Amino acid sequence: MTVHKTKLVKFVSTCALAGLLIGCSEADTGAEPEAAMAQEMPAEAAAPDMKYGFGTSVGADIIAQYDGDIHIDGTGLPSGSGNVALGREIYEIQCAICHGENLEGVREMGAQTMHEGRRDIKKLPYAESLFDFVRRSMPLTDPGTLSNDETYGLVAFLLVETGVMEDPELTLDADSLKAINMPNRDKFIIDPASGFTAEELEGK
Amino acid sequence: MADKTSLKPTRRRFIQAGVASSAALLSSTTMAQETTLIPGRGPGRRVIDTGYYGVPSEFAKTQRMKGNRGPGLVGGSLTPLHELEGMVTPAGLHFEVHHSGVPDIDPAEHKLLVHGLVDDAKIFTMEDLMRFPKVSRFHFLECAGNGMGEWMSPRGQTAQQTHGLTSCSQWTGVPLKVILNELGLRGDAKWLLAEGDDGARMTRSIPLWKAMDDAILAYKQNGEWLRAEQGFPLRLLVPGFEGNMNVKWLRRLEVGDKPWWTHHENTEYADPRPDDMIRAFSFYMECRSVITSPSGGMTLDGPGYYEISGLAWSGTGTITKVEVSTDNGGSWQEAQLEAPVLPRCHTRFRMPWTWDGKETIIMSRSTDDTGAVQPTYEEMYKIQGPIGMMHNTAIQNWKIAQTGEITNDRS
Ligand code: HEC
Repeated sequence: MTVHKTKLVKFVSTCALAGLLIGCSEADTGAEPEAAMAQEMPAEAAAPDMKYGFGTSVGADIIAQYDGDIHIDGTGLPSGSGNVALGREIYEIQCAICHGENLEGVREMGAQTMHEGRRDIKKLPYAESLFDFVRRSMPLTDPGTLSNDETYGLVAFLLVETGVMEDPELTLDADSLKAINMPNRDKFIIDPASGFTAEELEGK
Repeated sequence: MADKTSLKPTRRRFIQAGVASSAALLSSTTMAQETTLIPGRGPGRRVIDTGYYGVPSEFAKTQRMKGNRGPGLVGGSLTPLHELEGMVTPAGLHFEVHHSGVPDIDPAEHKLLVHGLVDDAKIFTMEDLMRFPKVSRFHFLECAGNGMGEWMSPRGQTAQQTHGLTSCSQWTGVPLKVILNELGLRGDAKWLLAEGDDGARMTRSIPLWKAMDDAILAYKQNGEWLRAEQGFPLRLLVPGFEGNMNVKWLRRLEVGDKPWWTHHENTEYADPRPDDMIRAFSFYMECRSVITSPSGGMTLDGPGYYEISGLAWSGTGTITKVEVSTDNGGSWQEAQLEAPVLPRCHTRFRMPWTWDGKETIIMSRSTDDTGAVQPTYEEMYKIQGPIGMMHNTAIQNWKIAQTGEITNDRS
């Protein structure tokens, strides 16, 4: 700790002076390790196990007001259900203006096709995260307003329209949604630099 | 009049440079009326009131470039790298991308909930958060899609258009590990979900190892409050990781044992490969550099001395070397790195150069302390496939014509 501190001070002073007077060129290469420490110092200074007592402890009721996400193992999926017909009806009223009659995307509204490329619904790894995104983020002009039934219906509609599911009368609820295995699930290459393997990231 | 102006090199330079409004400036009386009766030195030179929060001179036109997809809910802006110096980006010129508009948040109302696999879930006001120990660190922030338009062929004319989705600030906030330690982590904790308070509540999964390493809950940028488009009043900063993971307007952190595979991590910020595979969870913005001067859109004023200067950065570490070629990659010379040279931070490099007036291509290549070397486009295609978009780190060529005109050309 002390050693670091001295180095830090030295770095700051040489650099401040050199920077002002000669454009700080020679000093630089030598100063690199010290510079790195200058960034790491403050965090180390904070006592690692100190409890400060700031903030307010909360229970399940408050957490429920804030938390609406769905985990890939299905945790968080709400009760309720919806079928393709309900989904189609909502889609036409609330979504088609941006996503197009056939999910082709309306460029001027900023939406792209959901049939291929980066936004391809077939390529999604988990139906859970599709439900999560639709309920939390869509319709983009009024997010957070879809009911659970409507969201189940919309997910059923999107999966049937993109050919992931075959049954044109599909009805989804928490259990049936959890049972869906997305076709592209095993096509993800996990960057080794993440520190994880594909298996470690599996939801089920 | 002529005598007087000759004593004023600044003014003379403006006139020589033909700044269109200089004549108007001399005759303008509006500001003088508004501000003061004390004239500036010399006839007609006004003084101005710079207000309670300084703004750039009206002669300084450096600006971001804005772009929107659709009606403006998804959009952003690019930093004018070619007009900036040093390694810090002024907050007002810092690039930004938003996925459902920039919300206007009252910090007195804003709260952060941290819950999930912790012993004691807590909600924090901004006041609470600001009582914890603070750190200030210089870090670059780069959008994963920086230069995505360049992937197949050169398109942007300036360094702002090709590389303007990276910026660098000094960020201040509480180390995330301090907060997680405050709550106590459960044994199976491995991931965090970070959720923003924008309309669509953007979410990303963050590995716990990063949260416990150098992640910051930041509220200040270059000493002052974060700008609205940077997440005011609170953003997550995961240094060196792709911009999208640095969730803005942070409202909630949930500790879990698996990633959430959120929309933005499994589609938009994942990389489809030619073989139908998708590369995902590629967090790091890797070793990269660009010459910002002279660069695309500029014209050299005949043969002679020029300083080649630019930025290098790496999400995996500290820049150790930048090489510059002024003969289309035939030979390379080491540029000088200007202090401070910090980890996960923009680093300014400079190299003197005398142009002989012949057509050529100039480029830079950076190396970091993990040994990573910035690739050519061919090398990058081999790693990522030719139809990527995200994480373009390839070497940028600027072609200088005999006329001195500089274009973005890699032929
Ligand atoms: C105002 C235009 C708009 C409306 C209305 C809208 N969306 Fe979207 N939607 C978008 C945009 C833009 C994106 C991309 C978001 C991003 O890039 O962050 C998107 C993304 C999506 C996605 C993810 C796949 C993709 O294309 O990126 C789904 C699924 C989706 N929307 C479903 C819906 C549904 C269902 C509705 C109706 C309830 C709806 N949207 C209404 C604009 C809209």
